[in-house]
Amino acid sequence: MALLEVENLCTEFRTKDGTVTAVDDVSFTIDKGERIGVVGESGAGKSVTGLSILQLVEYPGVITDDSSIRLNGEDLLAKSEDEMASIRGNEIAWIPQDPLSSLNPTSTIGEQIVETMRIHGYGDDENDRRQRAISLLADVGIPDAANRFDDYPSEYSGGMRQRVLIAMALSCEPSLIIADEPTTALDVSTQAQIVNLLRDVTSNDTALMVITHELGLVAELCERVMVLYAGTVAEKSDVAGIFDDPKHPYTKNLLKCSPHLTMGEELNTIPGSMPVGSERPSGCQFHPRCSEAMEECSVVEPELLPDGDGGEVACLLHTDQEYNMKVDQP
Amino acid sequence: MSVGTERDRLTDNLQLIPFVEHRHVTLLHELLRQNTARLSLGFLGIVIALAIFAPLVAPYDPADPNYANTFASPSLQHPFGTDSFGRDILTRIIYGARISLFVGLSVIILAMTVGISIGLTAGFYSKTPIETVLMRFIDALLAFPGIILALVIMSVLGPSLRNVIIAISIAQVPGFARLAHGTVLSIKEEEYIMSARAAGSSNFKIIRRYLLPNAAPTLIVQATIVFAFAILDEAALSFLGVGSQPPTPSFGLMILEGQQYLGDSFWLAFFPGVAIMLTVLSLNFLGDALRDVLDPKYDSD
Repeated sequence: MALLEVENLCTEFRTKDGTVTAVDDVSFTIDKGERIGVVGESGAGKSVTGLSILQLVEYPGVITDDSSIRLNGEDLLAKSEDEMASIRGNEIAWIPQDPLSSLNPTSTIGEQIVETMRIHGYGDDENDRRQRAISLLADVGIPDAANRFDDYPSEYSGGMRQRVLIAMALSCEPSLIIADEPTTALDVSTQAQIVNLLRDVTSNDTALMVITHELGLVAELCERVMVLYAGTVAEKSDVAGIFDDPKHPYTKNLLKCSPHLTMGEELNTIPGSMPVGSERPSGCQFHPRCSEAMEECSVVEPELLPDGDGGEVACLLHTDQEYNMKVDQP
Repeated sequence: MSVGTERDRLTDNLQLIPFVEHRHVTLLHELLRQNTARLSLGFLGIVIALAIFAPLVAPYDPADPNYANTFASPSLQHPFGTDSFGRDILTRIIYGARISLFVGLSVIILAMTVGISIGLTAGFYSKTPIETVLMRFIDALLAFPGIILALVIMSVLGPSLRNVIIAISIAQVPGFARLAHGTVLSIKEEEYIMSARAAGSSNFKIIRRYLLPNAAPTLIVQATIVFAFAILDEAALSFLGVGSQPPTPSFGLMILEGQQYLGDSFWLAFFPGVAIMLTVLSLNFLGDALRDVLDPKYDSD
């Protein structure tokens, strides 16, 4: 049984100006100890997918009734707010995007790690929790951890604060860690260190879901990739498949947009922009920007189907979908 | 004033200041580097000491009349002169400081507790009916000028020191509630609130450990200003005759009693007036200095 099973996840923002579907019918699973990357442009619904799992989507966001999220077979959407609170940080931990603003400036580093354990009753007593927090800080590479335990966040650098957030996420030994753009706010050399750290700390049974727009991070860290476009799954594959033989035109374009260290090379861009708000194109969401779009792409919504290489792709070019059935409907 | 612009004004001017423990030590240190803060802290220290030890330091009895020595002008025996009953004005001012400080402190405690509770709750449950009900109630209170509101409450409750405190507190609640509400609204958007939720913190824990400590510096500055307002309001209510009643040595009451003799014996109203002015000025200077010191952009050099 998979650790996390997400089925038909739809998350909508019901605003006065109409309903905006941020996540549209997304299904995926994460196995115990697996590392999966969720990739896409800004606004593709990556973060909302992560927040939906924790049920922390902010007002007016709503997870629709047909959605299903199961952790170890238990239906998370049926849980009460209190039950969810006992899962957050305990079973599923979250590593936020911006380390500089994600720690409480009025509380010490050590206290914030201990606090997470205290909430979930982890550890025998305060001293036990303190010892564990110090060893966690040492594990994530904070030098002189025992002495830096009582420092405030303002006394830590950005990279160190990201390490602290990772230590906090690890504190209750969660089975799944969701990391939202864990390296975006950091400089390049610090990024590499954090990637190595994330790989090390999840080398046991801890599963990791990395939300990112950087394909490089995915290549370094993950075993599987899910590409999101406008809230829908464009392609799912193992890492090698995505980089060696991308199927979906969007994935191909994303790869071309990744910067390489070659002098004078012009960076590729994808023309147009992702549909925003309540205005969504008919048929394939990507077809207005797709260079390989066919006539029927504007009519038929492609289903996510096996691509023959072990992955799945939602594109009419790669699957012999019976779209004729739907073509009749304008 | 619409809600939107008021909220913008609050959040624009707001400096969200990390209020960390080790700054407590340096806070006083930084304060004492400013001349105005040194002066006002010194003056307030003297006022507080005089108020606490009033029976020991005051030369006479504040309520004891001496009909043989009415309207005595300032002299060595009576540095601030005597009033229409021959009572020593310096003594009455020293005892009056007791009342002013007691009213100020009580109002801060009452108005802060109620106002911050309302503002925090409304801010925490923003975009829900709870916020609407609480903040519209505060708006309704704000529709009356503070002193008129206090006057109405006093005429309902009847004149007594306890009722003065209640009336002024009610009049000061909206200020605290609005400030706490605006502050919480902006703190709520901070990433660390989301990480606290993602770590499984309960609502109560988020309010107590995250919202309140981060809002504290802003509210402390407001407290010094409200302290000054409370002293002024108490004097005003007493002056209008609905506050403290004779022979209580309240500053406002002393000015009321002295105003009819202003032409011949100015000291009856003058010295209590100076006492109010200096106390309120000191509190305002202290508030300004605190705001500067708590501002992260403040540079002591």
